[in-house]
Amino acid sequence: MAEHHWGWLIAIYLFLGGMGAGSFMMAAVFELSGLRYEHDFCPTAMAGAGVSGPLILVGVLLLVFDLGAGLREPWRIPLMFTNFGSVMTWGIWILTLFLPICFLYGLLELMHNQPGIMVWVRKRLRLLARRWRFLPRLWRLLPRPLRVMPEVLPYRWIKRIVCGAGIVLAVGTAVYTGVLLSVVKAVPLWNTPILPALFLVSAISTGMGLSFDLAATLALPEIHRRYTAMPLVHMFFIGLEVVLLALFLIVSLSRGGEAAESARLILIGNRSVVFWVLVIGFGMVYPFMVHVYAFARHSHGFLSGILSGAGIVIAGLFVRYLIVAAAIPITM
Amino acid sequence: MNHNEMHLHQVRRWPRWAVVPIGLGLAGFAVVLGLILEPAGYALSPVKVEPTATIPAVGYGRDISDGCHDCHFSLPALQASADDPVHAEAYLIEPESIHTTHGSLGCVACHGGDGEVADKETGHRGLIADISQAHPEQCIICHQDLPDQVPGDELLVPHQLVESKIVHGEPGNLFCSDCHGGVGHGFDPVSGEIYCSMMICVDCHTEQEDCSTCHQGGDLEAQMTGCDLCHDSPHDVGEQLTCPCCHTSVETWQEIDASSHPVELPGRHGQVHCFECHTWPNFKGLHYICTDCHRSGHTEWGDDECTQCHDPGATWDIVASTWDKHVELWDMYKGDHLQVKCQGCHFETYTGLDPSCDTCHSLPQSHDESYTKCWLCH
Repeated sequence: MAEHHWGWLIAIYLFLGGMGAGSFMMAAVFELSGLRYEHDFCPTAMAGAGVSGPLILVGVLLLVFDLGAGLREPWRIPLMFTNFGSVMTWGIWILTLFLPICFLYGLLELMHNQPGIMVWVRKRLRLLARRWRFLPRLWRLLPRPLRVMPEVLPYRWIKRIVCGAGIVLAVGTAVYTGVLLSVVKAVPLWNTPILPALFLVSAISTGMGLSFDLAATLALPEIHRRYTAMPLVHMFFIGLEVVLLALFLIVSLSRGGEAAESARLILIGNRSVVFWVLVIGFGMVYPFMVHVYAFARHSHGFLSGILSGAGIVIAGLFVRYLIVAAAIPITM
Repeated sequence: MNHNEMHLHQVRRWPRWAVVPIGLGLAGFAVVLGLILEPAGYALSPVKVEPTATIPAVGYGRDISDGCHDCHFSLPALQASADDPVHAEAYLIEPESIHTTHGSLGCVACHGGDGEVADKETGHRGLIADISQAHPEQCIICHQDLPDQVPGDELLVPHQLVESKIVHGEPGNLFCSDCHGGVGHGFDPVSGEIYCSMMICVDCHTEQEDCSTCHQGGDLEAQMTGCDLCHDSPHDVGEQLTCPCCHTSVETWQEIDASSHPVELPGRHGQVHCFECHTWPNFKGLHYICTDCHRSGHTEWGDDECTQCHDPGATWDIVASTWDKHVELWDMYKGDHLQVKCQGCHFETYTGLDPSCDTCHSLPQSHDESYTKCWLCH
């Protein structure tokens, strides 16, 4: 009989889902706290808002591709929305609600940063209206409030509403990726409430790593000078992730059986090089040291910022991959 | 211009939206890097033991079971291919059953074989009649920590023992299918929509040669004499009474021997279900006042205790012969009057009735109007 191997596809889905949610949270915090408006251009908000939708969409497509049944019999997909006893149904609802919000926020942020978009849209519409005469008639059929097309939308007001709703769903998405695994009783390594907490913190960390340390730093190398408290935030989340990861492995070791065997695979087994070098070394210790240095000096170098961001993102990917790949099911 | 300023100058010429593709590109790059680095890390690792990174799973086989449906959904098709057409119906499957939870896994998921060929012999090669017997661990993948007491049914079942034996690979002769055999074909033991007859249990107990499969230690003979081997009484009278004292059927609990009731249940009262009068499960809160269940047809007359006038073993139409107060109210309540139904005199109400004979009787033509007191002669 065919066996289901959970490997890279699921790990990448969990990673992209978490990082997308984390990027949204990062941008939403900048938006809601007003940090986004302290300067003319906030690349962190632009990056976080812009990447969250595509990242989660790619992750969801990978999940559908991995499951297979959705491709073979797509008419069964609606049934997945109705089984409320299943964690997957919760996740589907969260993602279904969250994805449009991500894209809407990305579009609003883009239009806010590039006001010319609205002018361009208006010009294109006029051209289209001249070419196809029925379009103005259709336009007049719309209710009057919808026919108003202001040159400048109240972006800040709209984005506050979108971010307020989206940040709740972003937390739900990040936690759900952990809950999805933690309810699998057949794999003792996953069957722990620490996993959702670890995935949430990792999602926030990778979201910061991608939207602030990588994308924003590449676009604006001076960005670390703007937000001097950012290294402290980084240190907090990296430290919290280390604590949760340690707790996760210690609890697994103490439980014995397959959980301990899985943890040993990560710590001293065939996954140990990846764990110690890429996750702990490059993904946690190095970024932590960079941010300690940056906090003391109120800044750090362009390259070290980029590398610490890369380390955090790589660690987020491998934390999920190791947890998925080292899973040993209960002995039957 | 230092290095940072030079870099800043270059970057600011990018459009603002460029951070989005940069971020997406970096995310993609991280994934590619991970895919490259992981095998490298694995190659450098000191231990080369491949973990069993596999979730135990029942193979999904619905879309490769169409060949099974072609025959097993159609009696003529089964009869045409059967060695003994007389028994072909036993292998007929309701098409609706493939939409149940287990049925949706597909025939070959549990029964093996090849569901994509038309040839019967090839299709049945490697057939597994009972997966819970051949590969019981396949059931345990989903069904773990099953309760030893079925909620709501007070039924004791050795789920944990069976599960433990399967998990530890110990031999046993009790299988999931012994009780849940039709689970893939429409039988749903959990919802309770289709009941499993106790005779299935009794037959199985009779057939089992090795009682220790389920019963480890203890005085088995003593246990077998009582229903409490499998059933946990929900009633507080369970310690004083055994189940057969009241329950008469092994098919349904509701069949009760009314004569076991400590108080006589006259008339139709012996036919009502116990918990229409008592409170489940412990017979407390007894409803013994007539109006708890019955609604009086004459609220202007009498109180809640109907038995003062009515016989609880008879119908409501006749006043109980033991009710002597009716004579005190109307001294003509005797003779043929006793056979008249209440409404025969009480046309509208039970109060203010005129006791004169002509209320009911008309004066015969042989009598003139001066005869008003019938009872003087009759």
